[in-house]
Amino acid sequence: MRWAADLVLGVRLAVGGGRTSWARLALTAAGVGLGVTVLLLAASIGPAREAKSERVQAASLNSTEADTTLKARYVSVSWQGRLITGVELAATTPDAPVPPGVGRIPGPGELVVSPELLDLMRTEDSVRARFPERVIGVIADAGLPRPKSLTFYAGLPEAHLDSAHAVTGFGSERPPSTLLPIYRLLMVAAISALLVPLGIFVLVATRLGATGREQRLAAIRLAGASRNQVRWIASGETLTGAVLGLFVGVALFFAARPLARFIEVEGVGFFPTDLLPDPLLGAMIALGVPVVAVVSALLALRTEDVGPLGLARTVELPRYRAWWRFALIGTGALLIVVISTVGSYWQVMSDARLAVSLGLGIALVLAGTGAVLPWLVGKVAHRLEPDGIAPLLALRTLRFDSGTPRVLSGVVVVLTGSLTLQVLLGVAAQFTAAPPSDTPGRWVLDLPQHTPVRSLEEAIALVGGVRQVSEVRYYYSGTTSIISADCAEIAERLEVDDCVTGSAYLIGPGPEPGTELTVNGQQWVVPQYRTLTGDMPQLVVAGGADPVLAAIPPTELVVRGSPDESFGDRLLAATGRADRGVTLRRQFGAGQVELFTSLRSGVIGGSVLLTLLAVIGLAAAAVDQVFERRRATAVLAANGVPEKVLAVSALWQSAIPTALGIGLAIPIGLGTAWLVAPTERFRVDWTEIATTVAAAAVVVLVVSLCTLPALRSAIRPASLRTE
Amino acid sequence: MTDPATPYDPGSAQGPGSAQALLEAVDLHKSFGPTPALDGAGLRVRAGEVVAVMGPSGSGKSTLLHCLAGILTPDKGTVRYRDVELSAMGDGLRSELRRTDFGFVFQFGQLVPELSCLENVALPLRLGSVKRKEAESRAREWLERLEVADVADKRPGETSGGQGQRVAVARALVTGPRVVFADEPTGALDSLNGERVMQLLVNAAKETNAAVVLVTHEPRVAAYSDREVVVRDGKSREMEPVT
Repeated sequence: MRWAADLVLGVRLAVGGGRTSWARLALTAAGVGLGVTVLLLAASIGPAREAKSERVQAASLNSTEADTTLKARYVSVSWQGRLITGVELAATTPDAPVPPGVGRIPGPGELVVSPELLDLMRTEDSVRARFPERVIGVIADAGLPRPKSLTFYAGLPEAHLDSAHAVTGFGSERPPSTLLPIYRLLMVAAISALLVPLGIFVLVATRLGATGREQRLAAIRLAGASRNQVRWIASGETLTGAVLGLFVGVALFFAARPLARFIEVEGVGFFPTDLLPDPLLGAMIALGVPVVAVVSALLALRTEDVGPLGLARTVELPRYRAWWRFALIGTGALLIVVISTVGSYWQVMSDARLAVSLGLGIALVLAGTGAVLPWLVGKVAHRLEPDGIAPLLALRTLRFDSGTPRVLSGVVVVLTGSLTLQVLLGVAAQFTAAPPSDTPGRWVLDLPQHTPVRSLEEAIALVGGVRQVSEVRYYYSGTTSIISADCAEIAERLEVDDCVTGSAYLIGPGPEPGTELTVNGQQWVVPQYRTLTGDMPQLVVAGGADPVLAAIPPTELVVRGSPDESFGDRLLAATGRADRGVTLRRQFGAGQVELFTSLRSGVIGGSVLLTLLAVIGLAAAAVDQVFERRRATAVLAANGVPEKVLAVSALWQSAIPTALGIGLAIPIGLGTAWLVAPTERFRVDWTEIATTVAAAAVVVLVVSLCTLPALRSAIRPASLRTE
Repeated sequence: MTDPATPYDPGSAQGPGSAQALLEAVDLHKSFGPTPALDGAGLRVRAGEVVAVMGPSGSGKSTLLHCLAGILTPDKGTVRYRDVELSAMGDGLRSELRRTDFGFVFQFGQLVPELSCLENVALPLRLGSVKRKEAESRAREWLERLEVADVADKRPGETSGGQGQRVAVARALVTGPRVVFADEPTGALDSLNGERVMQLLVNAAKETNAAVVLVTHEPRVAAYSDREVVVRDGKSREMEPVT
């Protein structure tokens, strides 16, 4: 059990020693803790999405053919571009089930609302005006997809009983919605790009105070500790910081969890109880962080021989070990190329194993970029012979000190990943762009069955800015889809200019003119038509006064008016007074746009969080560096080197690795995106890239400037004291 | 002479050749890159004697001490401790030797700043699996003998230079070493504190029959030795016995 005693001595070294070692331990714990918090958050996303999806499914209407107990229909209200969705329902049997999170089924004229909607109704009269019913309760968390959901249950008015669906209850097992392949690609890339630097920062945090640690270990070696004993002692020291960081991270995670209720970004939000890490991932974090910390400390000791006289660093080592750094990038790139060759990105993203392999490829490239930087800095520092004292001091320090480049590796990996993600976001945005057929100012209202169309049209006519309203009727005869509309709508829909009342157009195969069809229970003769090309087989008729077609209830009202979002709100506000079941069809791809927006928010949010972590890690490491080198710096100051030269030298020390890091990040980041994205969609927005790179450079510069007060303190004569 | 490969038992009461030189270095050569530090230096140390290694800066005296202590391995030549060659020992055995048979007092950098003075003195014992209570009890005795019991619970950074060096002497002697290596032990102290540290070091070593290899360039410090060896340009030369 000799090793246990050595391990305990390491723990003693970590926690003993007054303010200095406590500050070092606090820095390590804070760095590891922040990393652990983000890791726990990432590990919670899967379970949180599942929990949310379960609640959504539990609240969905189940309309299987079993005994019906309820009549219900989905309704929606739009307010300032925000969609308020709800269900109007009425029990048809005494034992009708209640929706999740609701005490009882609201009767006619009654309303149960989500807390967010209740707040909105209290603060906004225009919202209150859209709900004339009496609020009888608030939907509990179990019945809401997310804390800030705008949703409600209302009693079904008798007038709409016929238009409602017969349902058996709540809860369905719909298959989960599938993501577009490009979104999957984006997510895989984002996960890799965010997790790799996170790992680096956790590692960097555990290596804070390494120089001091090596000196301590040398003193212990002098007292008779063997190399093996020193390894256990170092492990004990590192383990203390890592375990403490783990506790800090868990505490921060649970302390921050309640805030989830108040945070919603672009429609993405979770309940605090949703955010519980996946048990397996949680266990991996709990075990992985200390293990990785100890292994990294032990690996560092393999390349740095701590002898009784101090640290004998093998300065030439990077020259011989450069291969594995480039091998990481090469292997990653090869993996991406091979997978891209296997199939199109679409196929790749449909296959989970290939997608994971692609993610691994990206992660390897990023990890390799981080690993190459310290080597590159060492190489450059050996080659350059500047004239100025400040850059000379900086370069000489960088030759033997891998601390700063190691920390900057994390920043460079964040930057590289950001550049890759930026290009991929651009590609995804191209896929998400609405098709040109969506004309601005064209609003489509979907009508429920038995809706009072005349009342709706009267209400719409009162909305300012309405230019024209077209009724659209659909009928499927068993062989042919028949669409009846006015010429304005047909001209817009089919892009024809010869439409007059009675004109007909056939797209795809269809019945011959003169064929008799049964439409809406009546005989109808197919008129003469012009044949058009298109994807969707249909017969479009400018029905006009055709009594058979006019007898089909309209299923859509197409309103032409202002393209402003507020116009849609006003339309729904007007129709809602007649029938809240009227819904505004979102433009083609609007759902994908929303999904893309939330994905983009997730990626940007993750990047911001990581950048914050990078800044904190960088600041902590920079202060740690100043502290570790305080004696050398104080000696220089005592020998007459001006404070300004020392300050500029400190800036050079950050600037050189940063410049080299940017030089690596741009080609590797864009190159990775080029390999991953579909070639024909690859575009680079150089302004965006320049902004990101400049932001990274400024962050490093600002953090370096922030360490100058610590430097001033370090050059005081008191720093010359040795023990 | 014993076969260099013969396993050595550090700390054993009787070692081979104990009646002769305790520590012997012959024809040592050591270079750091292109710079030669030792060029045929040699030294014999007998049990209980105090040997001062003198010489100007850069002459190689510290390198000689580090080779004698097994911290550095010479490029050429042999260092035998109780007739066993140090370079034949593995790191584990040499570490054990430092813990049990050798003690060190350097100018600075030898105390662990995070540990209290008492813990620092007890450290070699703890590393050798002595129970904490016993190790601290023995450490406290040595702190008392060296007149620094009052700083037992302070960390090295909270003590004066003289106190710190006395703590270092206590740590060097707590395991009952056969040889104490002292490299400029008074270099960072004023003359009064330096004198006191030397008195305590030499007296304590004499009491325990420990040999002292004392590297210094100060004749005042060398005066505490039984004999002097001068190192110049990496070569050593015995001086006339000190009277």
